[in-house]
Amino acid sequence: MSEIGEALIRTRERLNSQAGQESGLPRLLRSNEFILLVVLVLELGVMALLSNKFLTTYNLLNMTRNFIERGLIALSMTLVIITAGVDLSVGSLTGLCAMAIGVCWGQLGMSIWVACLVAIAIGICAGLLNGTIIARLNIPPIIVTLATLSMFRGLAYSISSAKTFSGFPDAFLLIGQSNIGRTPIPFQLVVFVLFCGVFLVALRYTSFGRKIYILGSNERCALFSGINLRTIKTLVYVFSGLMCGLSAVIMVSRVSATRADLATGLELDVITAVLIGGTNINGGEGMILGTILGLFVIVILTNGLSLAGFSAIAQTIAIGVILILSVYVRTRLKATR
Amino acid sequence: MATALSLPKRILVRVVLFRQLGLLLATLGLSVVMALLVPVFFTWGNIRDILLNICIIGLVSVGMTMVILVAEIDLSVGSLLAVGATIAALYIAAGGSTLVSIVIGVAVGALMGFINGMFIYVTRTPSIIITLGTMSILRGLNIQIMHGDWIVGLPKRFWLLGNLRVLGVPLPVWITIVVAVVFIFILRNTNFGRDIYAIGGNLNAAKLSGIKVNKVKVIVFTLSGALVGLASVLFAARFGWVVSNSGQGFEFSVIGAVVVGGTSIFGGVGGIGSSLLGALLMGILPNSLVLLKVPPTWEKTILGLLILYAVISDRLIKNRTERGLAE
Repeated sequence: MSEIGEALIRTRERLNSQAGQESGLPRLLRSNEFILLVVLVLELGVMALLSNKFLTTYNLLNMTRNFIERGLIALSMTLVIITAGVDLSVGSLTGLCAMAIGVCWGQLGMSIWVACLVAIAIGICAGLLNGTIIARLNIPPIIVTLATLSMFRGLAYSISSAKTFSGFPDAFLLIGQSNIGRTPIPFQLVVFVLFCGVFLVALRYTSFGRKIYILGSNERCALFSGINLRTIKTLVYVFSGLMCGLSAVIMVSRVSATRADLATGLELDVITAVLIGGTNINGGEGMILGTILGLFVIVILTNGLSLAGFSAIAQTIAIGVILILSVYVRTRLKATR
Repeated sequence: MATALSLPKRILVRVVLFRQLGLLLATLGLSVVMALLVPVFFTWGNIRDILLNICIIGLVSVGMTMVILVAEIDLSVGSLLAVGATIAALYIAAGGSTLVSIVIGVAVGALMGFINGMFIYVTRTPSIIITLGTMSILRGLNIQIMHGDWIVGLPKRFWLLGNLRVLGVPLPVWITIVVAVVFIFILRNTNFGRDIYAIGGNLNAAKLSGIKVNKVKVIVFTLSGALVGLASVLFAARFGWVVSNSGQGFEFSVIGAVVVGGTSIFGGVGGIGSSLLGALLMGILPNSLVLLKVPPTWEKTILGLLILYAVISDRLIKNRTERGLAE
């Protein structure tokens, strides 16, 4: 039993330090979020020097438009990775949901709003499928979602017979292409901020959030504390599916077309953002704030580099380097702590 | 002595046998059904096609099996395949010899595998993160080298490397068989092979018994990289062209083949033979679908279902054994 006691104490210490309850200045300075903030400011400075178009309100707000879809999924991915899981199927699932919108509206003649609801429902069901197999049968998430990655993408092709759909109603296109009033704030940014709030509160201030941390840092300990592992595990994948459905709606509306290969490889962008944000791939550690900062680090990097005339390749390489560096720095810091 | 196996051991032995047997039966069953439904399936030409198609996956899955056996993972193989194919193709296009292109491919692969391994060792970062990073770095590098162009029109002598028939069997198939036999021997009969299983089976026990865990892991990544390099040259030779997104998503097919073969993602359990069997099943399936005139859009769905079926049945069998051992 002492093992469990120790694990509980360790978990509590970790949670306390994350909630900043022991925050002295040095701890604050070494905290993950602070380091990310420094990186972000540095990036802003460098990018502003590289291109004079970068540091304008219009550009800064408009560049968020392209990453909201990934951002929404990164929020739920943070929960998944904190439980020591991973969801590789998010890109394919987003593609499937997007295709469902196209097929329901273009082929089955449903209203576009019903089609959106169907897509979100499909997202939830798919998440439930992932979660159930992972939680009930205790199969490693990486394998289950690897299989469903292939399956969902295949279904996206199958249900559409590889057709594309476009010409959606104007009202629907407003979701992804409009601004709030006359301000340059994209509509979907508001949606994103809303969900950031929801996830932040859920992870930090509810028992559900606490259970996710305990589950990720020590599964046995969580089991013996009477936490219903299966429910929690299933739920995080259901959330993941839900966010895929939502982001599919926004993505289809933004690009005003849907193809079966939409959002291919999105899972890697999302996981990269979450890991740069400081979530531990082995579970038990991570914060929504970190994920949001991680997203901004990536977005500013890609947007700034492309404004400065670097190719998409340089951006890909830069993201890979930042990913490895950030995890490396964090491991070193932890060792010195 | 031999007859005095305890009950749990006997059950374990039976399960291990059953695991391979189930896969073999599934493969054979599918083949027989296909042969009855579509006579073309069982012609030598079609079988040769299937074998040629799974060579690339097969070669890479040999390395991936070792990587997964030491409880690591390598997501960068698809990007590495593209880089190796590009470099080999550019060298050939510049008038280089076929033999040297193989050496170059293997060297590039081994170097990248070594770098992956050293990154993981030095930074003590999980391999899934490092290889996720090198995956995008290598993909970017490949597009950079190619400037987004296609490499086409490779000479016939190079094309022969991927398509020449020796005794009726394409050269890549022979190469895959030789490589597989060599590595099966290494895994089974050398200290190095034993170390691989020991590390995946119980890391602490392996450390305590004096195995140089990090050294073995770096070697495994290097060998795996070298095999990807070899596969990349065959890939370029077989098709005669390389595009900048060649091999995208390839890592998933390879990991799929290894997992369908029954190698445990937690390490320590599995083998190269079963991975090749997994690759074979994953090669027969798309071929059958085409012959049955199933729309090609269904291929990915069915492959996904196959992987799910494999892991779920594996888990159910394991549950049954655990219950058996408890009683």
